[in-house]
Amino acid sequence: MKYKVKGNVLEITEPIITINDADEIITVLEKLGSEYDNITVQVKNSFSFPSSIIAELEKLKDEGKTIKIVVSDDIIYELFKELNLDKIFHVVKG
Amino acid sequence: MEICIIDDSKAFLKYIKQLLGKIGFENVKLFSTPGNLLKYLKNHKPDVIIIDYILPEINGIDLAKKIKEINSDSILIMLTSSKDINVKNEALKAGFDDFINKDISLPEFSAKMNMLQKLVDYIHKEKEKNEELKKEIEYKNYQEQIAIIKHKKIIKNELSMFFENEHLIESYYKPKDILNGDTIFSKRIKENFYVLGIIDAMGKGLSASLTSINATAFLEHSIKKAIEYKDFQFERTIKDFINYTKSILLENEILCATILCIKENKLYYANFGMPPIYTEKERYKANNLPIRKRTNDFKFNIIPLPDYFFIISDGIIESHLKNMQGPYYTRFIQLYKKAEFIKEIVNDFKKHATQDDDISIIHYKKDEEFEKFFELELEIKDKDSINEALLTLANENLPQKHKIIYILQELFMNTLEHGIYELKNKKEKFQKVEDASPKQKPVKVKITLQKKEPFIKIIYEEHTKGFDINILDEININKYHGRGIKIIKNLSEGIFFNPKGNKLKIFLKDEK
Repeated sequence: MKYKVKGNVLEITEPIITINDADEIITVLEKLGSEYDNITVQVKNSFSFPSSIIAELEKLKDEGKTIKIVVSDDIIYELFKELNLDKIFHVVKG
Repeated sequence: MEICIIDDSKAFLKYIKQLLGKIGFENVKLFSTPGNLLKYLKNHKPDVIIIDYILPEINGIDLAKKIKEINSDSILIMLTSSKDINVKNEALKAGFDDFINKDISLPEFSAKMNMLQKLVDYIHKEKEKNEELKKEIEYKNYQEQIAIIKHKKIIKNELSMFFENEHLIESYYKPKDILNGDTIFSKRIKENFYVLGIIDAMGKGLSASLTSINATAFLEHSIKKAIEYKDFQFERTIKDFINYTKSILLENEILCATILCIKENKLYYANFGMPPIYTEKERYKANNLPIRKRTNDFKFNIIPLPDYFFIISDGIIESHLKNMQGPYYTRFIQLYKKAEFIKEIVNDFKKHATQDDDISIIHYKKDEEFEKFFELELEIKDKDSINEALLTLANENLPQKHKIIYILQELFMNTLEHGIYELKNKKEKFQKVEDASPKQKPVKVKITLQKKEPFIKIIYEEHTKGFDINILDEININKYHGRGIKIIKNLSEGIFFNPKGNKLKIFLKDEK
């Protein structure tokens, strides 16, 4: 897995495969949450988005953060809509 | 109203603070560097921020962009002498709300600040109203959630994602309102012996809902006791059910129900005014009228267990098609014959119809032999063992590999959290697993992949005491629990647990 962080934007550029990958993303999100009110996650080249990361984003939302998720994969985009995550986060296809 | 002002001229800051004081604005904070202002904004949300266009380090427009990242609520005013339209357009795009010219007269400045005060007061009032509304909605949602939890507590739908031997059972339940007339239940009596049913009290509102829940609760309790005494008899259970239902019906009320029993490769059914039982061979129509106060006797029939069947309430077939070309029935009778899983019907319904009533569906099918093409056995003791298995799968040439990996990420984590670390509540789940200590020995897991065009079957077997399948029916109402199962349900055509909850069958459709 590869990712980049620029300001309040986390860009995931290679697939999340292992549990360590997911934990790494969670650590980045925790740090972004301590610094910013608005966080953008761009899921560019990952076919998965584990529930542990979704739970971390929900936690940040509950703490009052605004979360924007930009998804390129059709399956993940449809999954977010089906799980009603588009009502909790600002989810866009991009 | 709290006002922050940033300008690199300390003399100007002093002057503008005095000016604001004269016109009644005392809560003013001054900053001469962007760094100091950004640091302050991490813990404060001023109502108005006045920013000079020309600043040290970065200009006012770039500073506004940074401010918007950490605080989107404050009103931003640009302090400028520039008349350049391009600069002002850029400033608006960056998030500025207004401009103040540096050589503004005192009356104009006073008027602008008074207008801002009115705007800030209005925003505060609206925020208060929104907070009250939010609390009301939260209370209503809480009440609705409690009502649904209560419903689920009373009515158990134990076989909502169930398999045992060759039997696959799944259900879909979507009430139209909280006070719904449909209830759905299912229970395992013993191996290869199950009771399933859908009950629909005709009418709307609290009375219909109470009738339906009460009647089902009685049935549920009767079956539970019969299991305890090892003395379940279909005919006697239905008879008791009718007598109880009659005792709670009002004079003009009626109750429809389909109650089935699968036993020894036979299907026993009593259908009281519900839609037919749809099987591969034929549709078995209702063998009884709906239950009324004057109902005295009933019939039940026994047929060979079909390869598949659907039982439904009328909600799905009577809901109207979006193109207004009649009820969904016309699509359903075509679709059920080729639908391998409920999901196909539900997706089609969502696409083509509008839900007018409660929807309940139970689907039974006999599982078929698939051809094995991959097998992996591993021992899960920590995250490293999971990582290794996931990387092995990532290097294999498998159909639907991405979905398989995504599904296994969720299943492995479930095994680790519930099977080894025994994490239970939300607080524990928010800890990382390395912070917890193992309560169980390493767990053996076997993954088998099989195919039969156009489906792939994932069989996941773990040597644990199993996942509590009684909570499966509740995952849709719990915000934090069961997200992994929801993801798998969404990625797959169907997911089925064995009675112990330690073996799963997941079906994927090969999109090729």
